[in-house]
Amino acid sequence: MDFRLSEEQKLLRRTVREFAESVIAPRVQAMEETGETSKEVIGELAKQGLLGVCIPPEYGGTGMGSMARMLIVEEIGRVSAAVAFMLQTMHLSIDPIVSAGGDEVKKRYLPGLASGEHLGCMAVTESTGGSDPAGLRTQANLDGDHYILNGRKVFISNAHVADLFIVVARTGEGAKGLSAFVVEAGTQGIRAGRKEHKFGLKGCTTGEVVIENCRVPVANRLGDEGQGLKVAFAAISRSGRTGTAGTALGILAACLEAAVKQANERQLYGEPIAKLQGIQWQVSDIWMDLQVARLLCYQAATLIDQNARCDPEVAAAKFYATEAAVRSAKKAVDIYGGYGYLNEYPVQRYYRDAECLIASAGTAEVMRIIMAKAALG
Amino acid sequence: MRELNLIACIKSVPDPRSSFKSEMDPKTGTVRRLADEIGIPRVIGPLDRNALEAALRLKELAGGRVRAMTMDSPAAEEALREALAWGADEAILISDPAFAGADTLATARSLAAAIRKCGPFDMVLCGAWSYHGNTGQVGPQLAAMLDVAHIPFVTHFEFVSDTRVRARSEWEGEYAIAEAGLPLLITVNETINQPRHATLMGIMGARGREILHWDAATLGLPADTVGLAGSPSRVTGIALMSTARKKEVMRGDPEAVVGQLLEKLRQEGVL
Repeated sequence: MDFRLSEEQKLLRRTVREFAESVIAPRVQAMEETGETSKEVIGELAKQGLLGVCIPPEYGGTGMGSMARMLIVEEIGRVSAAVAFMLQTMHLSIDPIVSAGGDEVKKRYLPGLASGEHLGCMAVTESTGGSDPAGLRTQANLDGDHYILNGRKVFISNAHVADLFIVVARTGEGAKGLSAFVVEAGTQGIRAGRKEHKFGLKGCTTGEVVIENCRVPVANRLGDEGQGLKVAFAAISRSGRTGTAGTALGILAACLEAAVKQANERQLYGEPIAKLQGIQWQVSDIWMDLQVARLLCYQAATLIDQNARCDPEVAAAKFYATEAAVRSAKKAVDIYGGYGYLNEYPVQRYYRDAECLIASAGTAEVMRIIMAKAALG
Repeated sequence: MRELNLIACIKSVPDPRSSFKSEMDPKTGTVRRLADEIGIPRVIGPLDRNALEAALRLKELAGGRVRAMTMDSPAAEEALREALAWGADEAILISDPAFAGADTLATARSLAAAIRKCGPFDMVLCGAWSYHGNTGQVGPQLAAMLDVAHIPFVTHFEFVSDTRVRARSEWEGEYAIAEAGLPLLITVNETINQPRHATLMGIMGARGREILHWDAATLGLPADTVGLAGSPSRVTGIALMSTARKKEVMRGDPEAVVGQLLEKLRQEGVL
């Protein structure tokens, strides 16, 4: 296996790193203080073409694929996990349109999603829990050439900035009784509800989507009736889990840099604490976690680009990278000692942000179930 | 405004974000490329980014063509690929083992030959100095060899007519306004603009594009005019500059001490 990045991938990584450091980094503190998404950042992400990385060129994107997206999300996550998570959520909402949308739907929505004119979000989870989508209650009743949707979605990232919602709703009984729809934000009967107050990922808003007698054209259904769960699950695995894992990779890279900086600069007993084996063990653990997580994430992304079936590999990447981000951020905070607890040092942010990723796009336990099924047959 | 034929001379440097050691070859007086040996990526040098950005903005305003050019080893292709991703129309790598060890004069000679080979041009844009050598000599030498006007340390410029440029030069806290006719060479400071980042569309567009390779034979340069053989200057040593604050505490009656302080500042040339 060749683990080296191509020249183009290296250029992409370098370019996105420069972009993140010059455009996003100066706005991180404001996002931390307000918790609000930076519209300026979204505009700049769009201008760089980062929203359309998985949209085919014929619909206004670049179609560079999953590995390119992984590098993008990682580099942005290294500077701001919140922005990386917001961006990957937008990619997630694009995935079902690309994979299951008809030509008319693609032509209508993808160019705007690529240019940033429209921002998307995925509305699947309900108060019954995200790990049991078969238990979804939101109803979609056919009425002529429209469906009438009613229900309430929770924990929806980007709900308050989205122009398009990908809504999964019940059109029949059981797991095969669900369908997916594109719903425009201006449609009567759909609105963002309560905005949640999170302790991490500040700058990527999360909240409810309230759906009351919302009429959605049949043409806006993605795939056949009853295919909703399949469409949503495929997108969540392919884009949501890899995007969450990529965000965690960015946090891991940031943790390593911060830990190394502190270890080399902080003096104790007349020399840098990097000379102490107790610190070296911590730094080596973070370094190793970053290497392992990268291999798993890049493997998952490469398999997706090869159209291979890889749900277990994606689950492993998501599980490992997010858990590693939490434990590495904890180690980075520890290396900073008392300073690690202060807001003026970023390691506490890495810790708070990493924790949010464990439950996103399927909990650690769900990832274990997917891997166990693959292992046990 | 008529379409312009523009050339941005860039130098690829090891990514300034990376840390690496430099070492001098005592025989040739040249710096060994340790950064290349350990795989530090090559990027467009900081001020050269501004030069390329200025050229691209000019093209966006007036139309025309931007050629990005560098004299270096094949590793510099990385930086030229980035220039294409930014929007350059053509990328030229002037490369030959015979060019190794070139000082500023030999470098300017090779660049001048390549620019002449490109045909008529309106403007050549360079960074005012490089991140590596920091001499600031290649731009002026190039202008002299091409026999065109040169405006240095440019922080702003505008066209006063189709063939005439007015520019603001800034150095050491002073500034001057200069005008010159085309063809012209300017060297730019970092405040002239905010360089762009390559977009994904740009990176895709640069995929597979040809980078022209020109060697000494292509440029018709005799062996004794290029590289170490064509370089009249040698670096005799590299030293690390260290700076430290000078501290002096003056005690006593405040009025007397103020007098002593003023005298001291005069002696030091501060006042």
